[in-house]
Amino acid sequence: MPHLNTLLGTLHPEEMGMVAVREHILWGSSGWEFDPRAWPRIAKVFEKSFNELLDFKLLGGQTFVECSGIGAGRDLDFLVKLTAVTGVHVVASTGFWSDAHTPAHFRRYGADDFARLFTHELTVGIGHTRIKAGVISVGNGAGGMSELETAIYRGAVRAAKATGAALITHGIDTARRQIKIFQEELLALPRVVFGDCDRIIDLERDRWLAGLGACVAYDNVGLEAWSDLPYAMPDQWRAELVAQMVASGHGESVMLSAGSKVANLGRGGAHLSNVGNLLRYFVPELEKAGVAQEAIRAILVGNPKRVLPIQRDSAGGAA
Amino acid sequence: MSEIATLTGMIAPEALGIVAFHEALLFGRPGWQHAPDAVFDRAEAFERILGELAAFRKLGGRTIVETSGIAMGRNVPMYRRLSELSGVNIVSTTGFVSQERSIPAHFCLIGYFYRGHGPFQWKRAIPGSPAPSHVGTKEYMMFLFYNELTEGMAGPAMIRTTSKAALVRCGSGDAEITIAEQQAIRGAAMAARKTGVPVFSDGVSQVERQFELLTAEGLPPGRIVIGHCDDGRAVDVSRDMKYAAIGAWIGYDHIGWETRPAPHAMPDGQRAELVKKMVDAGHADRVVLSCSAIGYGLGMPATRHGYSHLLESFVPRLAKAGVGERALHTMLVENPRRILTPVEPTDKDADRLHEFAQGFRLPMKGS
Repeated sequence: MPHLNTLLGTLHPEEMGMVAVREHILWGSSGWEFDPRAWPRIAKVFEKSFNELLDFKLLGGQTFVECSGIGAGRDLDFLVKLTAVTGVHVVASTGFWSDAHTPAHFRRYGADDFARLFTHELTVGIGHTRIKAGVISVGNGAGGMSELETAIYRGAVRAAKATGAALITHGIDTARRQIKIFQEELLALPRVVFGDCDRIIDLERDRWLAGLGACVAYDNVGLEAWSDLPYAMPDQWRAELVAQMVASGHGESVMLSAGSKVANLGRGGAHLSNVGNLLRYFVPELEKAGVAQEAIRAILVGNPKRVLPIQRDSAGGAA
Repeated sequence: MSEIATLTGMIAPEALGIVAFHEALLFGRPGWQHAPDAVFDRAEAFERILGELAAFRKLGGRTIVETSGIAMGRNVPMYRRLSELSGVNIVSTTGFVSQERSIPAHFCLIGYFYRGHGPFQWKRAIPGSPAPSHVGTKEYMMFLFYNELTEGMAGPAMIRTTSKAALVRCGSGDAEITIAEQQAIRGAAMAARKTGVPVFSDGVSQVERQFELLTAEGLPPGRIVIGHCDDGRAVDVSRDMKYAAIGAWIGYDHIGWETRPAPHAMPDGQRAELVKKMVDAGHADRVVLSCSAIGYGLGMPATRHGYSHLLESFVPRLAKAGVGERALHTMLVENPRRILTPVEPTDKDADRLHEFAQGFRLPMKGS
C-alpha cells in the first residue's frame, strides 16, 4: 500500500491534501551548532514556525515536506512537536545537499554507503530513533557535480529503488547529468522531482524533463524582487511559467512550493517568504495567469499524491 | 596571567605535574551523530575514560591536554566531571584540525549565502574584503577562538560553558593548506596573541607553510607547538632540530600508534630513537611527548592503547635507550608547564577588538 512517512508515522496518500513539496524550518550549513553566533533562540523559532504552519493549515495546506537533509538543520524533536501541535503533516527528508555541506564523517562514503544510510533512514529510522524519513532530498552546489555529489546522487537513486521513496533533487544546473545518472541506474523518472526549476528559467528544459516523465518543481514561490538573491523574480513570471507548462499539457508534472526557511542559522536574515504565501498570494496569481481551477488542484494535490508516497509492489520491491 | 585554565578551574603551573600533551577523550568527525552506525553510549564512555584516566594517574600522570578542538566530539560538562572524579587535570582546546576532518561548511564558505539586512550591515563587512560577510575570514575564526579562551567553550548543547580553553589547535591536510585552513591558522595565531595561550598545529607535511602563516600573524616561535612530528609518513629529525633551534616546540605525540591501517603508524622503537637523537643534540628542552589515545570513538574505533601507555611503556623504553632522568623530567613536566603558562598578550588591542566583535553579532530574523 502506498504511504507517506511523516514525523508521526505513516499517512495515507488520500490524506495528504495540499502539499508544499520543498520547505525548511531550520536551515544551516553543517557545523552551525559549533558557532554560538549561529545559535537560534529556539523558543522564538518554534513560535514563528508554529504561526507559519498554522497559517498554511488555515489556508487549506495539509502536508509540509521539510527538505533540510542530514546535518543541515533537520531537527527531529523540534519537527515532531511542531507536527503534533499544528496538525500539519510534516515530512522529514534524508539526503545531503552539496559537497561542501556534507559533514566530515560522511566524506569517505561511497555510493553504496550513502544508499545504505538513506535506506536506513527511510525504513528503520533516522539516527537511533524509529522516526522515518519520507522522501530523499539531495542536491549539488553551483558549478557542476563533484565526485562526492555524484556518489550522493547514485546512493540516493539506489535507496529510492530499494525503498520505493520519491527523490527530490536541488541543483537544476546539472539536470542533464542527473538524468544520465538516473538512466544509468535504471530509476523510473516518474519517481523524481527536479526542484529549483525557477532558479534558472528554461521552459524547454522543463518540458523536456516533463516529457521524460519527471516532475519539475517551482519551489521559490514568493521570492520576489525585494530579495537580492540572484534567482529572485516576480511571482507573475513563475505563474506564467506554470501557465505555459499547463497549456502545453504538462500540468501533470508541475509542483509548487515556497522554499521558505523559518530560521536561517548563522547566515543572516531568514528567507522572508513563508509557506502560507503559496496559497494566499500565488494561487490567485495563477488564476490571473489563466490556469484553470482543476489544473491548480492537480498541481497542489494530485501530483504530490501521485509521486511523493513510498510505493512498493505486492512482492515488496519498489514499484 | 600566570594561571592555567583547566576544566576544574584555574590552577598554578606547578600543579600540572606530568603532562600527556595530545590526547582525545571522545573523538569523532563532525556529523557522527547522524550516522546510525555511530554509537555514543555515554555511560559506557564515561566508565571507560574514567578507567583510563585513573590508570594514567596511578602511574604518576597529573594532567591531560585534550586537543580535539571545537568540532570533534568535545563534551565539556562530561570532561569536567571526569576530571573531578579522576583527579587528573584536563586542559581543553579550541580551534580546528584540517578541513577534511574538522572544519565544517559553516566556517568555510566566505560570505556564502549571506544576505544581511538592516541599517548596520556595513558593520559586519570586513573593510577591503569583497565578501558581503565576515564568515570564513580569519577575523571570524579569531573571534570564535578568542571567545572560547576568554568567556568559555561552547558546549555540545546550545549553551556556552564557563570552562575556558587553554590552547588553540590548528592544522591542515597533508597535500595542501586550503583557504579555510589558512583562515583558521591565522585566526588561531591572532587569538593566541590576544590571550597569551600557545598554538598547537598538526599536519606536519605542511609545517613550513603553517609556520609561515602563524609567524606572519606575529606569533613568536616559542608559542607554537608542532605536533605529529612522529607521523610515520613524514619523519625528519633535521627538520625537528631546525624548528627546535629557533625556539618552537616539537611534539612526538603518536606514541603507541604502531600498526596499520593508521597511515601515520610507526613502531615505538623508531620514535624512541627520534627522541634520543633530539635529547643527544641538546633539544630535550623543546620536546613534548604524548600518545594521541582516543578514550571513546564516535563512529570510529578507540585506540588500543590508553593514556597510560606513555608512562607504562614508552618512558621505560626511553630510559633503556639511554635518555636520562633529567631529560625525561624536562620533557614530561617542565616543557608542558612552560608551554601552557600563558604569557603576557602581545596584542594589546584585545579590549578594543572585543568591542569591535559586538558589531559582528548577526541579527536573526524571527529569532
